[in-house]
Amino acid sequence: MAFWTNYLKGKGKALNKEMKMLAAEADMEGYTEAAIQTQMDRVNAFVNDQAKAEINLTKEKKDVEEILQLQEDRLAGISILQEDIANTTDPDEIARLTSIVEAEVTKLEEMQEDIAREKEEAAEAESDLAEIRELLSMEKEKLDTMRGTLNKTKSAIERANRAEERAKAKADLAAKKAGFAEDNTFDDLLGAAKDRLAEIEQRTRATTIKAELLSDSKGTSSDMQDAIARAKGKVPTSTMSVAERLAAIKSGK
Amino acid sequence: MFKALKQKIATFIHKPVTVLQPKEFVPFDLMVGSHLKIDTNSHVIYKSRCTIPNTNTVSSIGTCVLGGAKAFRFYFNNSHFLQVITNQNKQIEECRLFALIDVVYPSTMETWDMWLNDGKGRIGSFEFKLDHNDLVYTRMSSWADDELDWVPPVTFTEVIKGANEVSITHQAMSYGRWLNEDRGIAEYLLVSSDSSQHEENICTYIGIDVNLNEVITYF
Repeated sequence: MAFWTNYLKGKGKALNKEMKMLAAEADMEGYTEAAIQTQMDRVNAFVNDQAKAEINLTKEKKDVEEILQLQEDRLAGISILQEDIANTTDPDEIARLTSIVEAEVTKLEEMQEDIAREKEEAAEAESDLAEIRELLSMEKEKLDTMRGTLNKTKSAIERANRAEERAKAKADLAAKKAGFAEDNTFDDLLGAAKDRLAEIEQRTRATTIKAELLSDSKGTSSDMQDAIARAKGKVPTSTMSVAERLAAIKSGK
Repeated sequence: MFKALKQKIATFIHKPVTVLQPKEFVPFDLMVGSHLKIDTNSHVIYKSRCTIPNTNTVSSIGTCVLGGAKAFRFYFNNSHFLQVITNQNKQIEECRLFALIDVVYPSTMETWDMWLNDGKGRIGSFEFKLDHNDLVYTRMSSWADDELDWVPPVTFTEVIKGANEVSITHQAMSYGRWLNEDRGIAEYLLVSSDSSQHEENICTYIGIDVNLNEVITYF
Protein backbone atom coordinates (compact mmCIF):
# COMPACT_ATOMS: atom_id res chain seq x y z
CA MET A 1 0.00 0.00 0.00
CA ALA A 2 2.84 2.32 0.96
CA PHE A 3 4.47 1.65 -2.34
CA TRP A 4 1.38 2.70 -4.29
CA THR A 5 0.97 5.78 -2.13
CA ASN A 6 4.58 6.82 -2.71
CA TYR A 7 4.33 5.91 -6.35
CA LEU A 8 1.24 8.06 -6.87
CA LYS A 9 2.80 10.88 -4.86
CA GLY A 10 5.91 10.70 -7.00
CA LYS A 11 3.83 10.69 -10.15
CA GLY A 12 1.83 13.62 -8.89
CA LYS A 13 4.96 15.62 -8.14
CA ALA A 14 6.47 14.82 -11.47
CA LEU A 15 3.26 15.83 -13.21
CA ASN A 16 3.13 19.05 -11.24
CA LYS A 17 6.73 19.83 -12.14
CA GLU A 18 6.04 19.12 -15.77
CA MET A 19 2.95 21.33 -15.71
CA LYS A 20 4.99 24.15 -14.16
CA MET A 21 7.71 23.76 -16.72
CA LEU A 22 5.16 23.74 -19.49
CA ALA A 23 3.49 26.83 -18.08
CA ALA A 24 6.86 28.53 -17.66
CA GLU A 25 7.86 27.71 -21.18
CA ALA A 26 4.47 28.73 -22.52
CA ASP A 27 4.38 32.07 -20.68
CA MET A 28 7.96 32.87 -19.79
CA GLU A 29 7.45 36.50 -20.74
CA GLY A 30 4.27 36.70 -18.69
CA TYR A 31 6.10 35.44 -15.63
CA THR A 32 8.99 37.84 -16.02
CA GLU A 33 6.61 40.75 -16.62
CA ALA A 34 4.75 39.75 -13.46
CA ALA A 35 8.04 39.71 -11.54
CA ILE A 36 8.83 43.19 -12.85
CA GLN A 37 5.37 44.41 -11.89
CA THR A 38 5.93 43.04 -8.38
CA GLN A 39 9.22 44.91 -8.24
CA MET A 40 7.50 48.07 -9.52
CA ASP A 41 4.95 47.70 -6.73
CA ARG A 42 7.81 47.46 -4.24
CA VAL A 43 9.37 50.60 -5.70
CA ASN A 44 6.03 52.41 -5.53
CA ALA A 45 5.61 51.34 -1.91
CA PHE A 46 9.04 52.78 -1.11
CA VAL A 47 8.16 55.98 -2.98
CA ASN A 48 5.11 56.30 -0.74
CA ASP A 49 7.24 55.53 2.31
CA GLN A 50 9.70 58.20 1.24
CA ALA A 51 6.90 60.75 0.82
CA LYS A 52 5.61 59.89 4.29
CA ALA A 53 9.11 60.07 5.74
CA GLU A 54 9.67 63.47 4.09
CA ILE A 55 6.41 64.78 5.55
CA ASN A 56 7.38 63.33 8.92
CA LEU A 57 10.82 64.93 8.75
CA THR A 58 9.25 68.30 7.83
CA LYS A 59 6.95 67.94 10.82
CA GLU A 60 9.77 66.96 13.18
CA LYS A 61 11.95 69.81 11.95
CA LYS A 62 9.03 72.18 12.42
CA ASP A 63 8.56 70.82 15.94
CA VAL A 64 12.22 71.55 16.67
CA GLU A 65 11.92 75.05 15.20
CA GLU A 66 8.74 75.60 17.19
CA ILE A 67 10.22 74.59 20.53
CA LEU A 68 13.48 76.48 19.90
CA GLN A 69 11.38 79.52 18.96
CA LEU A 70 9.50 79.16 22.23
CA GLN A 71 12.78 78.94 24.10
CA GLU A 72 14.00 82.14 22.43
CA ASP A 73 10.68 83.86 23.08
CA ARG A 74 10.81 82.91 26.72
CA LEU A 75 14.39 84.12 27.09
CA ALA A 76 13.48 87.37 25.36
CA GLY A 77 10.35 87.64 27.49
CA ILE A 78 12.40 87.25 30.67
CA SER A 79 14.70 90.07 29.49
CA ILE A 80 11.69 92.30 28.86
CA LEU A 81 10.22 91.44 32.25
CA GLN A 82 13.54 92.15 33.97
CA GLU A 83 13.67 95.54 32.26
CA ASP A 84 10.11 96.21 33.41
CA ILE A 85 11.09 95.24 36.97
CA ALA A 86 14.06 97.58 36.81
CA ASN A 87 11.86 100.42 35.56
CA THR A 88 9.17 100.21 38.22
CA THR A 89 9.13 101.06 41.87
CA ASP A 90 5.73 99.59 42.63
CA PRO A 91 6.45 96.64 44.94
CA ASP A 92 3.25 94.81 43.93
CA GLU A 93 4.10 95.12 40.27
CA ILE A 94 7.67 94.01 40.98
CA ALA A 95 6.37 90.99 42.88
CA ARG A 96 3.91 90.13 40.09
CA LEU A 97 6.56 90.44 37.38
CA THR A 98 9.12 88.55 39.45
CA SER A 99 6.73 85.65 39.91
CA ILE A 100 6.22 85.56 36.12
CA VAL A 101 10.00 85.58 35.57
CA GLU A 102 10.38 82.68 38.00
CA ALA A 103 7.58 80.80 36.24
CA GLU A 104 9.21 81.39 32.86
CA VAL A 105 12.61 80.24 34.11
CA THR A 106 11.03 77.08 35.50
CA LYS A 107 9.36 76.47 32.15
CA LEU A 108 12.69 77.01 30.40
CA GLU A 109 14.34 74.43 32.64
CA GLU A 110 11.54 71.94 32.13
CA MET A 111 11.50 72.32 28.38
CA GLN A 112 15.19 71.35 27.97
CA GLU A 113 14.22 67.70 28.08
CA ASP A 114 11.56 68.32 25.43
CA ILE A 115 14.06 70.16 23.23
CA ALA A 116 16.47 67.23 23.45
CA ARG A 117 13.65 64.80 22.63
CA GLU A 118 12.43 66.86 19.67
CA LYS A 119 15.97 67.08 18.30
CA GLU A 120 16.39 63.36 18.73
CA GLU A 121 13.10 62.67 16.93
CA ALA A 122 14.13 64.97 14.09
CA ALA A 123 17.48 63.16 13.81
CA GLU A 124 15.67 59.82 13.76
CA ALA A 125 13.27 61.06 11.09
CA GLU A 126 16.26 62.22 9.03
CA SER A 127 17.96 58.86 9.49
CA ASP A 128 14.76 57.00 8.55
CA LEU A 129 14.41 59.10 5.42
CA ALA A 130 18.04 58.45 4.44
CA GLU A 131 17.52 54.73 4.95
CA ILE A 132 14.32 54.70 2.87
CA ARG A 133 16.05 56.72 0.14
CA GLU A 134 18.90 54.21 0.05
CA LEU A 135 16.49 51.27 -0.08
CA LEU A 136 14.46 52.98 -2.77
CA SER A 137 17.60 53.57 -4.79
CA MET A 138 18.50 49.88 -4.47
CA GLU A 139 15.00 48.75 -5.42
CA LYS A 140 15.02 51.10 -8.42
CA GLU A 141 18.39 49.76 -9.48
CA LYS A 142 17.07 46.22 -9.16
CA LEU A 143 14.05 47.14 -11.27
CA ASP A 144 16.29 48.70 -13.92
CA THR A 145 18.49 45.58 -13.88
CA MET A 146 15.44 43.35 -14.22
CA ARG A 147 14.16 45.40 -17.13
CA GLY A 148 17.60 45.37 -18.77
CA THR A 149 17.99 41.65 -18.22
CA LEU A 150 14.53 40.97 -19.60
CA ASN A 151 15.25 43.02 -22.69
CA LYS A 152 18.59 41.27 -23.15
CA THR A 153 16.94 37.89 -22.62
CA LYS A 154 14.22 38.74 -25.12
CA SER A 155 16.86 39.70 -27.66
CA ALA A 156 18.81 36.53 -26.91
CA ILE A 157 15.65 34.47 -27.33
CA GLU A 158 14.91 36.18 -30.63
CA ARG A 159 18.48 35.58 -31.77
CA ALA A 160 18.28 31.97 -30.65
CA ASN A 161 14.98 31.53 -32.48
CA ARG A 162 16.46 33.00 -35.62
CA ALA A 163 19.58 30.79 -35.24
CA GLU A 164 17.35 27.78 -34.75
CA GLU A 165 15.39 28.62 -37.87
CA ARG A 166 18.61 29.06 -39.80
CA ALA A 167 19.96 25.78 -38.44
CA LYS A 168 16.72 24.03 -39.38
CA ALA A 169 16.92 25.47 -42.89
CA LYS A 170 20.54 24.37 -43.15
CA ALA A 171 19.67 20.94 -41.85
CA ASP A 172 16.88 20.64 -44.41
CA LEU A 173 19.23 21.67 -47.16
CA ALA A 174 21.88 19.25 -45.97
CA ALA A 175 19.28 16.52 -45.79
CA LYS A 176 18.23 17.27 -49.35
CA LYS A 177 21.85 17.24 -50.44
CA ALA A 178 22.50 14.01 -48.60
CA GLY A 179 19.33 12.54 -50.09
CA PHE A 180 20.58 13.40 -53.57
CA ALA A 181 23.96 11.67 -53.01
CA GLU A 182 22.59 8.59 -51.37
CA ASP A 183 19.68 7.97 -53.72
CA ASN A 184 20.86 4.71 -55.50
CA THR A 185 17.45 3.71 -56.67
CA PHE A 186 18.37 4.09 -60.28
CA ASP A 187 21.62 2.30 -59.87
CA ASP A 188 19.90 -0.37 -57.90
CA LEU A 189 17.30 -0.75 -60.63
CA LEU A 190 20.01 -0.69 -63.22
CA GLY A 191 22.01 -3.26 -61.27
CA ALA A 192 18.91 -5.42 -61.00
CA ALA A 193 18.34 -5.04 -64.69
CA LYS A 194 21.96 -6.02 -65.36
CA ASP A 195 21.63 -8.98 -63.08
CA ARG A 196 18.43 -9.87 -64.82
CA LEU A 197 20.20 -9.55 -68.15
CA ALA A 198 23.05 -11.71 -66.94
CA GLU A 199 20.56 -14.20 -65.68
CA ILE A 200 18.75 -14.19 -69.02
CA GLU A 201 22.06 -14.52 -70.86
CA GLN A 202 23.09 -17.35 -68.63
CA ARG A 203 19.79 -19.05 -69.09
CA THR A 204 20.01 -18.46 -72.85
CA ARG A 205 23.49 -19.92 -72.91
CA ALA A 206 22.32 -22.91 -70.97
CA THR A 207 19.47 -23.38 -73.40
CA THR A 208 21.86 -23.05 -76.29
CA ILE A 209 24.20 -25.61 -74.82
CA LYS A 210 21.33 -27.90 -74.17
CA ALA A 211 20.14 -27.41 -77.71
CA GLU A 212 23.59 -28.05 -78.99
CA LEU A 213 23.82 -31.10 -76.87
CA LEU A 214 20.57 -32.35 -78.13
CA SER A 215 21.31 -31.59 -81.83
CA ASP A 216 24.06 -33.36 -83.91
CA SER A 217 24.67 -30.55 -86.15
CA LYS A 218 27.54 -28.28 -86.24
CA GLY A 219 28.23 -26.49 -83.19
CA THR A 220 28.49 -29.77 -81.35
CA SER A 221 31.77 -30.16 -79.67
CA SER A 222 34.27 -32.33 -81.31
CA ASP A 223 34.38 -34.66 -78.38
CA MET A 224 30.63 -34.94 -78.37
CA GLN A 225 30.65 -35.40 -82.15
CA ASP A 226 33.18 -38.05 -81.82
CA ALA A 227 31.13 -39.78 -79.21
CA ILE A 228 28.05 -39.55 -81.39
CA ALA A 229 29.96 -40.74 -84.37
CA ARG A 230 31.32 -43.60 -82.50
CA ALA A 231 27.88 -44.42 -81.22
CA LYS A 232 26.62 -44.31 -84.80
CA GLY A 233 29.56 -46.24 -86.11
CA LYS A 234 31.06 -43.37 -87.81
CA VAL A 235 34.66 -42.35 -87.62
CA PRO A 236 35.12 -38.88 -86.31
CA THR A 237 36.25 -36.47 -88.84
CA SER A 238 38.98 -35.31 -86.69
CA THR A 239 40.71 -38.63 -86.98
CA MET A 240 40.19 -38.76 -90.71
CA SER A 241 42.51 -37.34 -93.23
CA VAL A 242 41.36 -34.65 -95.55
CA ALA A 243 40.92 -37.18 -98.33
CA GLU A 244 38.90 -39.45 -96.11
CA ARG A 245 36.79 -36.62 -95.00
CA LEU A 246 36.12 -35.57 -98.55
CA ALA A 247 35.19 -39.11 -99.47
CA ALA A 248 32.92 -39.34 -96.57
CA ILE A 249 31.24 -36.24 -97.67
CA LYS A 250 30.76 -37.44 -101.09
CA SER A 251 29.37 -40.75 -100.03
CA GLY A 252 26.94 -39.00 -97.68
CA LYS A 253 25.28 -37.02 -100.44
CA MET B 1 -28.71 21.79 26.82
CA PHE B 2 -27.09 23.32 23.76
CA LYS B 3 -29.93 25.64 22.93
CA ALA B 4 -28.30 28.67 24.54
CA LEU B 5 -24.97 27.89 22.90
CA LYS B 6 -26.65 27.52 19.51
CA GLN B 7 -28.37 30.85 19.96
CA LYS B 8 -25.06 32.51 20.81
CA ILE B 9 -23.38 31.02 17.77
CA ALA B 10 -26.30 32.05 15.54
CA THR B 11 -26.14 35.58 16.92
CA PHE B 12 -22.39 35.68 16.34
CA ILE B 13 -22.72 34.45 12.77
CA HIS B 14 -25.63 36.68 11.82
CA LYS B 15 -24.63 39.81 13.66
CA PRO B 16 -24.61 42.96 11.51
CA VAL B 17 -21.26 43.88 10.02
CA THR B 18 -19.81 47.04 11.54
CA VAL B 19 -17.89 49.16 9.06
CA LEU B 20 -15.19 51.14 10.81
CA GLN B 21 -14.94 54.71 9.66
CA PRO B 22 -11.55 56.43 9.57
CA LYS B 23 -11.17 58.77 12.47
CA GLU B 24 -11.55 62.39 11.47
CA PHE B 25 -8.39 64.37 11.98
CA VAL B 26 -8.60 66.94 14.75
CA PRO B 27 -5.52 68.85 15.94
CA PHE B 28 -4.21 67.68 19.31
CA ASP B 29 -6.87 64.92 19.12
CA LEU B 30 -9.21 67.25 20.92
CA MET B 31 -12.91 66.62 21.34
CA VAL B 32 -15.78 68.28 23.10
CA GLY B 33 -15.10 67.92 26.82
CA SER B 34 -11.31 67.68 26.41
CA HIS B 35 -9.22 69.66 28.82
CA LEU B 36 -6.93 72.18 27.21
CA LYS B 37 -4.56 74.62 28.85
CA ILE B 38 -2.88 77.54 27.12
CA ASP B 39 0.36 77.76 29.05
CA THR B 40 1.66 81.14 27.96
CA ASN B 41 2.68 84.44 29.47
CA SER B 42 3.19 86.21 26.13
CA HIS B 43 0.09 88.34 26.64
CA VAL B 44 1.55 89.58 29.93
CA ILE B 45 5.13 89.99 28.74
CA TYR B 46 4.16 91.82 25.56
CA LYS B 47 1.20 93.60 27.12
CA SER B 48 -1.54 92.27 24.89
CA ARG B 49 -5.18 92.78 25.76
CA CYS B 50 -5.76 89.15 24.99
CA THR B 51 -6.50 87.05 28.05
CA ILE B 52 -6.23 83.40 28.93
CA PRO B 53 -9.54 81.51 29.42
CA ASN B 54 -10.50 80.81 32.98
CA THR B 55 -11.63 77.32 32.11
CA ASN B 56 -9.75 74.44 30.54
CA THR B 57 -12.70 72.54 29.12
CA VAL B 58 -13.46 72.55 25.41
CA SER B 59 -17.19 73.26 25.27
CA SER B 60 -17.62 73.07 21.50
CA ILE B 61 -15.60 72.71 18.32
CA GLY B 62 -16.16 74.77 15.21
CA THR B 63 -14.79 73.91 11.77
CA CYS B 64 -14.67 75.79 8.51
CA VAL B 65 -13.08 74.95 5.20
CA LEU B 66 -10.84 77.66 3.77
CA GLY B 67 -9.84 76.41 0.32
CA GLY B 68 -7.38 73.57 0.89
CA ALA B 69 -6.92 74.54 4.51
CA LYS B 70 -9.22 73.83 7.42
CA ALA B 71 -9.78 75.96 10.48
CA PHE B 72 -10.67 74.44 13.82
CA ARG B 73 -11.98 76.56 16.65
CA PHE B 74 -11.89 75.08 20.11
CA TYR B 75 -14.29 77.08 22.23
CA PHE B 76 -13.67 77.22 25.95
CA ASN B 77 -16.84 79.15 26.59
CA ASN B 78 -18.47 82.09 24.89
CA SER B 79 -15.45 84.31 25.51
CA HIS B 80 -12.42 82.42 24.15
CA PHE B 81 -11.45 80.05 21.41
CA LEU B 82 -8.20 78.56 20.17
CA GLN B 83 -8.06 78.72 16.38
CA VAL B 84 -5.89 76.12 14.68
CA ILE B 85 -5.46 76.18 10.90
CA THR B 86 -4.18 73.05 9.19
CA ASN B 87 -2.98 72.57 5.64
CA GLN B 88 -3.80 69.76 3.23
CA ASN B 89 -1.17 67.56 4.88
CA LYS B 90 -2.94 68.09 8.19
CA GLN B 91 0.00 70.05 9.49
CA ILE B 92 -0.66 72.99 11.73
CA GLU B 93 0.01 76.27 9.98
CA GLU B 94 -1.35 78.64 12.57
CA CYS B 95 -2.34 78.50 16.22
CA ARG B 96 -3.97 81.54 17.81
CA LEU B 97 -5.87 82.23 20.94
CA PHE B 98 -8.73 84.70 20.62
CA ALA B 99 -10.55 86.45 23.41
CA LEU B 100 -13.90 88.14 22.86
CA ILE B 101 -13.65 91.80 23.75
CA ASP B 102 -16.82 93.20 22.29
CA VAL B 103 -20.25 92.13 21.02
CA VAL B 104 -22.64 94.46 19.27
CA TYR B 105 -26.26 93.62 18.50
CA PRO B 106 -27.18 96.17 15.86
CA SER B 107 -30.80 97.15 16.26
CA THR B 108 -31.12 99.52 13.34
CA MET B 109 -30.30 99.46 9.66
CA GLU B 110 -28.00 102.41 10.23
CA THR B 111 -25.92 100.42 12.71
CA TRP B 112 -25.71 97.45 10.35
CA ASP B 113 -24.74 99.82 7.60
CA MET B 114 -21.96 101.28 9.72
CA TRP B 115 -20.43 97.83 9.99
CA LEU B 116 -21.23 96.27 6.65
CA ASN B 117 -21.75 99.16 4.21
CA ASP B 118 -20.56 98.18 0.79
CA GLY B 119 -17.56 100.43 0.22
CA LYS B 120 -17.17 102.07 3.60
CA GLY B 121 -18.29 99.64 6.34
CA ARG B 122 -15.96 99.21 9.31
CA ILE B 123 -15.47 95.53 8.49
CA GLY B 124 -13.20 95.66 5.48
CA SER B 125 -11.62 99.05 6.02
CA PHE B 126 -7.85 99.34 5.74
CA GLU B 127 -7.45 100.28 9.39
CA PHE B 128 -9.56 99.42 12.39
CA LYS B 129 -9.59 101.47 15.57
CA LEU B 130 -11.17 100.16 18.73
CA ASP B 131 -13.74 102.50 20.20
CA HIS B 132 -12.27 102.77 23.62
CA ASN B 133 -8.63 103.47 22.81
CA ASP B 134 -6.39 104.82 20.12
CA LEU B 135 -4.77 101.58 19.13
CA VAL B 136 -4.82 101.15 15.39
CA TYR B 137 -4.92 97.74 13.77
CA THR B 138 -4.04 97.30 10.10
CA ARG B 139 -5.87 94.93 7.79
CA MET B 140 -3.94 91.69 7.33
CA SER B 141 -2.34 91.50 3.91
CA SER B 142 -3.05 87.76 3.89
CA TRP B 143 -6.76 88.59 3.87
CA ALA B 144 -6.88 91.43 1.34
CA ASP B 145 -4.84 93.61 -0.98
CA ASP B 146 -2.92 96.31 0.92
CA GLU B 147 -3.51 98.94 -1.76
CA LEU B 148 -7.29 98.98 -1.44
CA ASP B 149 -8.93 101.30 1.08
CA TRP B 150 -11.84 98.98 1.54
CA VAL B 151 -12.50 95.36 0.65
CA PRO B 152 -15.64 93.32 1.17
CA PRO B 153 -15.54 91.12 4.29
CA VAL B 154 -14.49 87.52 3.80
CA THR B 155 -17.53 85.31 4.04
CA PHE B 156 -17.31 81.76 5.33
CA THR B 157 -19.49 79.30 7.17
CA GLU B 158 -18.55 77.67 10.44
CA VAL B 159 -20.23 74.57 11.81
CA ILE B 160 -20.03 74.40 15.58
CA LYS B 161 -20.61 71.09 17.33
CA GLY B 162 -21.18 71.05 21.05
CA ALA B 163 -24.30 70.33 22.98
CA ASN B 164 -26.07 71.26 19.72
CA GLU B 165 -24.91 71.79 16.18
CA VAL B 166 -25.01 75.37 14.97
CA SER B 167 -24.11 76.82 11.61
CA ILE B 168 -22.83 80.38 11.58
CA THR B 169 -22.14 82.56 8.58
CA HIS B 170 -19.26 84.93 9.18
CA GLN B 171 -18.54 88.12 7.29
CA ALA B 172 -15.17 88.89 8.75
CA MET B 173 -11.89 90.74 8.44
CA SER B 174 -8.63 90.24 10.29
CA TYR B 175 -6.38 93.04 11.49
CA GLY B 176 -3.14 93.21 13.42
CA ARG B 177 -0.54 95.32 15.12
CA TRP B 178 2.96 94.66 16.35
CA LEU B 179 3.54 94.12 20.03
CA ASN B 180 7.23 93.58 19.40
CA GLU B 181 8.14 93.93 15.75
CA ASP B 182 11.77 92.85 16.29
CA ARG B 183 10.66 89.54 17.67
CA GLY B 184 7.68 89.24 15.35
CA ILE B 185 5.17 89.27 18.20
CA ALA B 186 1.80 90.54 16.97
CA GLU B 187 -1.64 91.08 18.35
CA TYR B 188 -4.59 90.30 16.11
CA LEU B 189 -8.05 91.68 15.83
CA LEU B 190 -10.86 89.65 14.31
CA VAL B 191 -14.03 91.54 13.52
CA SER B 192 -16.93 89.47 12.35
CA SER B 193 -20.60 89.82 11.58
CA ASP B 194 -22.00 86.50 12.74
CA SER B 195 -25.33 85.27 11.54
CA SER B 196 -27.00 82.09 12.75
CA GLN B 197 -30.53 80.76 12.98
CA HIS B 198 -30.79 82.22 16.47
CA GLU B 199 -29.01 85.57 16.39
CA GLU B 200 -27.07 88.12 14.43
CA ASN B 201 -24.33 90.22 15.95
CA ILE B 202 -20.94 91.81 15.47
CA CYS B 203 -18.13 90.20 17.47
CA THR B 204 -14.65 91.57 18.01
CA TYR B 205 -11.88 89.28 19.23
CA ILE B 206 -8.28 89.99 20.17
CA GLY B 207 -5.77 87.26 19.57
CA ILE B 208 -2.15 86.26 20.02
CA ASP B 209 -0.01 83.53 18.51
CA VAL B 210 0.43 80.49 20.68
CA ASN B 211 3.41 78.20 20.34
CA LEU B 212 2.29 74.60 19.87
CA ASN B 213 4.37 73.66 22.89
CA GLU B 214 2.26 76.01 24.97
CA VAL B 215 -0.87 74.02 24.17
CA ILE B 216 -1.19 71.45 26.93
CA THR B 217 -3.92 68.85 26.54
CA TYR B 218 -5.47 66.75 29.28
CA PHE B 219 -8.12 64.18 28.55
